[in-house]
Amino acid sequence: MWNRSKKEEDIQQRPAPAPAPDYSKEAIPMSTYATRQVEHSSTRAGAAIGKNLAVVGQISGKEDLLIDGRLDGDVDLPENRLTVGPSGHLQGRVRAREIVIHGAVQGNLEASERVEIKKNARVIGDLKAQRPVIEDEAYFKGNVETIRVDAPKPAAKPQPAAAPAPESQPSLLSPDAKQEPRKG
Amino acid sequence: MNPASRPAASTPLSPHESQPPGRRSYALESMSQWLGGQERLQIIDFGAANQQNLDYVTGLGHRLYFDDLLRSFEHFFPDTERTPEHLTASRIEEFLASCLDFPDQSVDGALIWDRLQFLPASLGSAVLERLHRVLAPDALLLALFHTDSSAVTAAPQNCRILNQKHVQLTSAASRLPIVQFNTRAIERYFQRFQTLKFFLTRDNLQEVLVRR
Repeated sequence: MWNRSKKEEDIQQRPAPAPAPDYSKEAIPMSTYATRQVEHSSTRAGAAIGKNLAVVGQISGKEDLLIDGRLDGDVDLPENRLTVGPSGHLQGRVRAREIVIHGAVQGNLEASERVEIKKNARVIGDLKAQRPVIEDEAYFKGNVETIRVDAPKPAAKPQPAAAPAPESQPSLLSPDAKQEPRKG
Repeated sequence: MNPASRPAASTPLSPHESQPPGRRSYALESMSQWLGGQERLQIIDFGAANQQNLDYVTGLGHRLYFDDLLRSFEHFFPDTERTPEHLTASRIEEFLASCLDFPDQSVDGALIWDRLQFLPASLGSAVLERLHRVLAPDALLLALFHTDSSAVTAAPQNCRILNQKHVQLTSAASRLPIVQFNTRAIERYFQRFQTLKFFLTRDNLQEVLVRR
């Protein structure tokens, strides 16, 4: 009876076993580049050219666009993102805020922010962006130029009132400025 | 090794372990010094496009033209069209127009790596001839040559610039036929260029820095 109760106390006082660590999450190799997960499916609202569509003509607007079909023409989305999906094929010049390529593009790309050429993408054309990213195993042929954005300069601090010049130094006032007569 | 002292499987690799150590490249170091003292140059990289080279060259304020010369060659000349009879002057000219379409003397530097050695001899010479035309006077060209004289094939090297002194070389999965060059042959190859500088290496990869 006594022994039993002592064992029960021991069991009750023993801390609950810690949950087994999930090693599967720790050993995931991570890219050193800040890239997002594939977002070309449906995570962002916007217009889309589906796999079985072929469009000829220029596209411009203020909406994100996904091209999974074929487009022969220029794209102008200065404030939005253009994504060319894995089955997408674009022939034309692109200007957008952000450009992500999984498929094939032939034409110059210009993004005010970033261009990402993903693994297995095929791009022939010049690339101009603030942050160009080319993943391994992507095929890229063309010139790359980065847009340099100068850091905003801090607002100029108000200058403290100029201290009166010592008598031994020449006055910094302009010749036109009036000087008050010295006392004494 | 005592299993108890072995790091757990989940231990993340240190940055040094996760990336193979780079190879010291004296040719790259010389070229880097030159690149660092200039602005807005046009540089060509004939290796596979990669983020490291892009960041390095554009980070110095230059423009970088990527064209994986081997992939372009394989795409332009299918397997059945790589025999000498298919490498006609007109086809070679078409190939040059597709990969080196630059005005004369408009390119300031070229990272050729080991690519010329994997092209058929006539095409390699034509590419070099065109490079001589598009490179500006005093432009620099960096090339690597596999020097194992007994090898008939070699694995092309994918070259990533780690910093101004180190490059990471990764062998491609498959070996390809190479054109053999000894030191004298390399000198003859670049005889139209102003100067040619060899850098001693411990492995079978000869570094060469050429001035146009």
